[in-house]
Amino acid sequence: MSDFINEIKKQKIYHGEKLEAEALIIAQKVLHNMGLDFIPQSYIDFLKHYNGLKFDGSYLFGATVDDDLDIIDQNEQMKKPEQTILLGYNDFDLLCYNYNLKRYQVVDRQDFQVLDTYNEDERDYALSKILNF
Amino acid sequence: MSRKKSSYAAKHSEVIADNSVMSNEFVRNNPDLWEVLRNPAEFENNFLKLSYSRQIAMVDFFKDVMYENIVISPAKIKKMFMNLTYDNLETIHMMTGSFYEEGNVYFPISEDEKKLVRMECYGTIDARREHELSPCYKFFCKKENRGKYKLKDYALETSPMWRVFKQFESFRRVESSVRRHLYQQGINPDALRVMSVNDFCDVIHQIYAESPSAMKAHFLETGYKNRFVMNFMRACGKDLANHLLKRGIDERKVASLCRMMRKYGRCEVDSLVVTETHYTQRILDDLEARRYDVSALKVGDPITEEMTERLFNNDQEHLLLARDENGRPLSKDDLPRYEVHHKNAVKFANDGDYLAKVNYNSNLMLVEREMHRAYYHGFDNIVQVAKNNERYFSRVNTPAPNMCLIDGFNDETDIFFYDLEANSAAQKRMQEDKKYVVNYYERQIERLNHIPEIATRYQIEYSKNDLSNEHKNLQKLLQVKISVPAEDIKTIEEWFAPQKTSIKVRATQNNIVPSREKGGNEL
Repeated sequence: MSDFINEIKKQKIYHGEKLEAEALIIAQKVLHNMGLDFIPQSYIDFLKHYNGLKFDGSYLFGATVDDDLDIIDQNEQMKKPEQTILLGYNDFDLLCYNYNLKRYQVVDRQDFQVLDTYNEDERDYALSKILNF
Repeated sequence: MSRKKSSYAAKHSEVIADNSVMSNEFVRNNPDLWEVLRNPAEFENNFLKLSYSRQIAMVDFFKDVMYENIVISPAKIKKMFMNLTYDNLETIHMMTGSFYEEGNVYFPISEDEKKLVRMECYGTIDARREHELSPCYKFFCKKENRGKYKLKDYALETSPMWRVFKQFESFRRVESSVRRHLYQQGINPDALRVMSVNDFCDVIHQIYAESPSAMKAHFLETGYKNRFVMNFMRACGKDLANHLLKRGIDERKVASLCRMMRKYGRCEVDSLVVTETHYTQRILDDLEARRYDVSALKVGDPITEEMTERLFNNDQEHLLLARDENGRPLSKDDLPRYEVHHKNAVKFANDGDYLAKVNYNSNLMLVEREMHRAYYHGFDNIVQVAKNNERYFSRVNTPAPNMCLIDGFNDETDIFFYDLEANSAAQKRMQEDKKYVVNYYERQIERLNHIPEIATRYQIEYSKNDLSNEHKNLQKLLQVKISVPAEDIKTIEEWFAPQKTSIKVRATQNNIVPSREKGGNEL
């Protein structure tokens, strides 16, 4: 288990219900039907620990019935850069997965400027950037 | 288990609806909104009679009309809706003390400055990956390149990038720790002149992280966002509690939310544990079962803050959980979900003022979440003009410096004003902040100018990637209008020009002569 997930464990953070295989399949299908790509594997691995998190204005999405954290609802409703799946946000930034580049991106919510880019194996850096606890 | 599965499946079983809505459909489906919309002269009165969720729906509709997210035809009808939208939105702006700014030009702040604003706001610094650190800093951090220096050698004011940090009070507070850390680590003081923002972040992370592998370090006890909420509660906490009670919200919920805001500066409802304000038989029994002395307590006695604090600290706050008449935890659905809003957006921080002001209490405001999203950010728009880095924007701005909470559209009951800067500490901070204002772009050019000299003196190798990164930095700087001698830029542009191979700097006495590593050709 990564240090980041261990750090989350120490906090009292609200999270979605345990990830169900069916919910994940539905999320993948609907996102695909919306013209987006699939959720990256490294993020799915994270969802197996925490299926969506919210803390003090920071959100990481999952395949969950909680509207605030539902990856489908949020990708439908929020503005985001092209060629990306939205995975979360905080007061300032969006966490996106750019499926053309196969990388996580932290993007300014207002002007979509890419502030940081992370490889899949740097997932925890990307998630940590968004989740402020 | 199966119910849970089906609930998510059911939620997304329908085909995604077409977003386009014909105007006649809007009228048919929203007769209440249409009645309000059609009569601008009576708009304010009628709008305020709508429920909050319908008010938000109205704002959403205005946004869809303005940005043409919906199809309205024929043209005559479209024009009518446009006119109604503009007229009525103007009334809403008046009610909220805001105005809609459209089509103005701004120069965005740099990425580094954006990051500093975030760090101060949250009071945290994220771990940097090795490739984010500058080659010079990495060189000086190597064990074999460390040395023994005097504390006075670490003159942080000689560091162009530290001067960017120093604009913020939060980083001025950690300045002595940064200096001491660099001294203790034996980092060559020459590094100061070429250290980047990321390099200093790495230093601060090392100082404050619980362990080297921690992803985040808290360099402030409380970030400025949470501090603002705490300050607000100190000034207006009782008024806020009364405001929520007047709305008919259960006093236990109000007390619990206010406690969280007061103690931690957080407003999140989902993780809020709503506790009883007075002892119940169940609580006394539960406490006794866990060997708390309850002999002096009886049902109906108020639960003291000390007791609440003690249970929260022991992770036993659930013992105080408030319950309804059926013994179930209280629903939190009617509690407002406040978010912190920057009145002047961070991206505009360069325009006509100083950067540190962006996280001042006077630039922050608590806003109910739906209103925050639909109204304050619903009309955000940016069009970039790539040539000179200018961008056009539109945004709802709230100029009132003392407006600290808005919980609806009724200016008589839903807006709180308080001057949270009217204290000597805030005034002193403002004066200090003004002293340390620098131009980021000029300081970055200064840092880049030092690199050839330092790299030459210590024979620090720059890989192709390093050069490319610094060249990109330079190109970004050159997009901005700055007053730096052309000769300065020419020198470093040549030095950082993209190379086919990495370069290793060959030291000479007076000249900077980088050479190709492979083949040794001079540039």
